[in-house]
Amino acid sequence: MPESFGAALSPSSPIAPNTRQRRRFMARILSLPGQKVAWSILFVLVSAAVLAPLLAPHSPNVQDLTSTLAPPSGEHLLGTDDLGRDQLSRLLFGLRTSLAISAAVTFGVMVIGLPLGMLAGFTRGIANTVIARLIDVGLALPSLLLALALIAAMGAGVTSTVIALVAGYTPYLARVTRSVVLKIREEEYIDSAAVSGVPTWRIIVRHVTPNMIESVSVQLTLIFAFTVIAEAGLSFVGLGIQPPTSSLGNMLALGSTHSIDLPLMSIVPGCTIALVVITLLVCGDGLRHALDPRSNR
Amino acid sequence: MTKPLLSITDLRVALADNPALRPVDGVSFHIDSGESVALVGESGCGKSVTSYSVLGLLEGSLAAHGEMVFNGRRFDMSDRGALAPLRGTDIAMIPQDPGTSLNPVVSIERQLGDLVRIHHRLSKRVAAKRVRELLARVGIPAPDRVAGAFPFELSGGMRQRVLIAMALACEPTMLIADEPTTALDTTVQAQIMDLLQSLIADEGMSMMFISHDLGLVAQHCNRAYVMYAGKIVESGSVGDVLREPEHPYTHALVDCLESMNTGARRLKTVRGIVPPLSDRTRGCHFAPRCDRAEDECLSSSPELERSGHSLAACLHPMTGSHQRVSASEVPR
Amino acid sequence: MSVIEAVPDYDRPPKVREPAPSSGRLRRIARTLLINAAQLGIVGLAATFLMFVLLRTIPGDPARTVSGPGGSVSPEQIARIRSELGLDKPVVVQYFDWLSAAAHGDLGKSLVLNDSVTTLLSDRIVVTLQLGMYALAFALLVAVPLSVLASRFTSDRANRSVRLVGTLGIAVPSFWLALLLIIAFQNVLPTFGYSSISDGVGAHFQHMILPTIALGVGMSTLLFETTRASLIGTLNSDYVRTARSFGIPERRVYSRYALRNALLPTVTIAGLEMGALMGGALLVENAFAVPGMGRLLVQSVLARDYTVVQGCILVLVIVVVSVNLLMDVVYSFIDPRVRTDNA
Repeated sequence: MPESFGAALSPSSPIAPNTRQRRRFMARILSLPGQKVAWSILFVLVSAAVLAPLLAPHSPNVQDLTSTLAPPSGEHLLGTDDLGRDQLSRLLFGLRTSLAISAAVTFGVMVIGLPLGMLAGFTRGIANTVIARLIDVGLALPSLLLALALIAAMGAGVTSTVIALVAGYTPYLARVTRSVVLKIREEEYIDSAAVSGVPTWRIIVRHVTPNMIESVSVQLTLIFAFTVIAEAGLSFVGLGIQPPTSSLGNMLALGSTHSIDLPLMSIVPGCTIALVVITLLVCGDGLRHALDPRSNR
Repeated sequence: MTKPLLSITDLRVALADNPALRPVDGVSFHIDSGESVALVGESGCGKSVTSYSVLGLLEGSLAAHGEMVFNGRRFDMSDRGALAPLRGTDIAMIPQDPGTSLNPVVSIERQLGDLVRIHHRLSKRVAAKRVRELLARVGIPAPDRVAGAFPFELSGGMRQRVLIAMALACEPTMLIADEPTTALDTTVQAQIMDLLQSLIADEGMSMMFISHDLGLVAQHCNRAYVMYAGKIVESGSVGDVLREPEHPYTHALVDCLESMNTGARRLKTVRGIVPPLSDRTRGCHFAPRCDRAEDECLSSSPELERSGHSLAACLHPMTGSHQRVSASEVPR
Repeated sequence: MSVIEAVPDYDRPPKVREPAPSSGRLRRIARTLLINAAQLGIVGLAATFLMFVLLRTIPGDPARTVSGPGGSVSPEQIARIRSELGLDKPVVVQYFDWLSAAAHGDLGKSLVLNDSVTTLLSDRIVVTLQLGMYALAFALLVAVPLSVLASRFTSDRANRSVRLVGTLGIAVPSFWLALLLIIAFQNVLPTFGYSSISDGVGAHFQHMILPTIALGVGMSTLLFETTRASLIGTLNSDYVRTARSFGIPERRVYSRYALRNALLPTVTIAGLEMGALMGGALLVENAFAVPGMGRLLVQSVLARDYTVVQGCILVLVIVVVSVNLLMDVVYSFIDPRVRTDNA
């Protein structure tokens, strides 16, 4: 591929070297069906999470035992829970918590998993085998179980949740990164660079990394989505975020105790989770299509 | 004058979404009993699509129109259902790529055996025997071992032989061989072609031989139709077409072949490329690449007319003179 | 987004061998199995060791768990409890002690409940396995016929709708679906608890229907999406066209040529997803108060009952490894191209 050859040898990243290209890139994503809606929703959700302290009508943890389990009203748009706390505020802060945790986990997975996967992909011989086997060990246990076991050891709470989820999803990213690196390593322009005497580290930085960004960023959106669900699941069974801090998961758990009399309490957080995940997946899909040079929409 | 075994009249194949784009644009030909007729052309000229239309095997995105007469029966080529009974029983096709044309997870025995039993209603035991007979017939050295094998365990040449055995199992009147040796090594090519030749002679079958290899066509066929960009540009006996090509395209093809054989320092090529579907001119499709083209070539589409010993669709054929004889007067 | 498309090497391509006679296939399958079993066994053991070490080295003293809440326990008592539990020995020794005891079926005693771990687990593992199997069966029974139907429609809009279904399947977590089902069916079906088969098949299935659906829907959408894509691919393949060209009747072409090949990736993916299914089972059990491994594990984690947690992890690792092995067996039977599968 002559284009990639030239791009790989050029000093700038082949993805979006300047603002004009970046704008065209975004325009390309937005031109696909459903993307405008998805990205707007994502923007709304992220803003709601970030601005929760400003947007929330009440403090999420303030109890009002005089009006517990109240249906939606002007005062409490989504009603109150069994301790009289405003559901809407808890939802906003819960969204904030969940997104923050997922972002932290995704970041952690990226920071640990990427280098690990690249190492696994680049090294040869014994080092390669050892690292690959380590990753396999991590993958042997399903991510959720691994996280569960770690929380078992560390006790529930924010920190352990984050650590546990990072541990749970890092093997997956490492494995995927390794495959991508292995594939890129086969490409000819890497050989050309090596043959012309470019040192290994430079090959990695200049040529491999830009090409990896595409597949990896798609994986990261997937991992972000999975993490949202995993955290919700862990909090749902009581092992993740502990009350009184609200997260989408433990709100769901609380709602489950009132599924008969007040179904809204479980439907609302559940819909929020689903909405977040769908939006992330659709946006990730858009990213993938825009980054894929084969797509000619 | 015996009626031809197969006769296709004005076959057009168009994209279902966009009928203006036609991989096959008005093709007519015929094959007599016992004849081996070649459909020659480079990739993209529509020869494979033509052969699939005969059996109603086009993919859903393509639609065929045309009239076909086989063994005295009329068929509307747009009706796949009507063509289905012909498959195997009357006309059997040997596909192009033996690597992908066999079911990868079913043994040879099963695949061949199924065919035998479907077409001849034999018991399992008799069918098993017949399978081995067929495998031996196509020159496979260890029929028992191969019968129990799976396609991935066989070489390309063996797989092609298996496919030929499958075609034989149906006992058809006519074979369509779609570039049967393109995917094989040259050493194996000759063996496969010889095999086909002897089988056809033994069974008295006709053959439609699709190829881009003029050499093979010269060795194994009686007549040839040269296709270019969806149309037939020349037709005649193999000897005439290859020794005295009338159409500039055929002439160029033969020239290229000769330049390879004479060891010329520079191989001759035909400038330009086959026009994609969307780019085909109203007039002669070859005109943009033709050295003999004039203005009229770009506007009017030439019909097949007698030119020298063959029929050529060209306003300025190689011999320069042509008698305008309409197609219906041409003796078959 | 289709998970399958986004993951680069989600499907394990079979290693194709060069031509050879196909005798002794069973022997070769057996050999492959042994190699895989050994590999998986090592990996599984490593996983349990990792867990063991983590549970020992991360702060949180098992001795405290035994002594119960309330801070006034003297250091001597703690030390005594620790040596009783064998916590003063080096970690590796502890691991091997535990492992050899486990090989004899002794997983220790619960630190909180008054029962042997083995007893606790054996009651519950059956329940979880049942749930998992039912969910898998449900997923396959729903996904395959639907994908056969949906493979007829290949327009852009059809493809987008299928994608949407797949996305929804991921986005709606099993535990939320469980809640929705509870809300919807609370007056129609039992929504909590469990009834074993020996107590009546009818009651058993009544209790298991909703959990099965909650767990199985996610996997069924995934299998639906991939099987349909796979089927469309095989229907357009050369060998299907060749089979048709030889006059093989359409029904047989569909079943033996198209479907048979199309289901190979389905089996692979089902196998790969079993781990996630087990994880989901734990959550669904909690939602429906089904007394399986999931509930036990969560309760033990919350109570810091380490021996039970270790036992649960061990059993779960065994289950996951066995399922992988089983999938390998199934796969080598249905795809003759598969030989030694090196990870």
